[in-house]
Amino acid sequence: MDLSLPRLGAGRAALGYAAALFSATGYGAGAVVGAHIVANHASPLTTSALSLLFGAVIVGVPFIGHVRSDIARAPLRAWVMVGLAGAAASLGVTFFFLAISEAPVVIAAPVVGAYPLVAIVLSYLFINRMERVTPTTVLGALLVVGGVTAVALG
Amino acid sequence: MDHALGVGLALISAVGFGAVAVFARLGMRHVRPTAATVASLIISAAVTMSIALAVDAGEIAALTAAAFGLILLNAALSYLVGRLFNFTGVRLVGASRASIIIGTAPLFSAGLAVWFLGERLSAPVLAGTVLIIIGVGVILSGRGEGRGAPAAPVGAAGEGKSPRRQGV
Repeated sequence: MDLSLPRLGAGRAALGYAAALFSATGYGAGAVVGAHIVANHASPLTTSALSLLFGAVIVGVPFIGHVRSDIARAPLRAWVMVGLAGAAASLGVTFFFLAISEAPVVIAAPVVGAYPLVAIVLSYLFINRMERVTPTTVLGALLVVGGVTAVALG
Repeated sequence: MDHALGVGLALISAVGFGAVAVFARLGMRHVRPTAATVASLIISAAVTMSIALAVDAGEIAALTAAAFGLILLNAALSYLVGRLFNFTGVRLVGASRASIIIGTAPLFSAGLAVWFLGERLSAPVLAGTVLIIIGVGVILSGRGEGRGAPAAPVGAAGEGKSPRRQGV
């Protein structure tokens, strides 16, 4: 069974990259608001936990019907993978806060900011039948991670 | 070696964030991005809230209404926009490419800090911005990223459907 992505049409690719860029703006703006909360109102862990709880409600209310219908037709292993994605995100957030409690942000943030390289390595190791990691992808990732490191240090 | 523990913890964090897209990609062979976002957020919230309550349960009760309002705003930006479109991007262009684009988020944070908070642009931030733009350009210039399979496995939710039908 071939599990690879279908050949990327221009429209599909453009939508995907636009979605990813829009996601980055959301994460970026959320980080600014989060920094303000942590500086003035609550601890990082409490901020993160409550944000996730509110996020589950905000996204869950309009899309709960999708969850219901997909539960009926998707195999259990798919939901296990989705659950692991959520757990991995929690691991990332929790250990980021632990990291910045043990090291300056200027050291910890660039290390965490290198996560796209981790995603590439994991993609190559575990889902290379679904998507191909090309030299172009690796070059783009190195440039972005280098840029993010410079922004974090700046 | 003064900060070895902090760097080690940061590396674990990076592995966690890096794994999100790969797990999500595997799950979204059968689950729509919207449903996957909701389910992953429920798991994330349960895990993180458990840790937060174990560390300091009293802090939540002491928060002000303003704090709750800001946390709600943070949730909307980070999850309604951030994670939902993160998963949508992963579904459409793959885990590795979407992660790279989403990894540019600190650039938007820096831009907002300059725009709204009046922070000054430093030379490293400018240099980093140029590198990020070049890197994104390199990713966007790639073509034929898939292996050319004509279709997804039979029964895979959303594969081959329009973005609207995938719940976007």
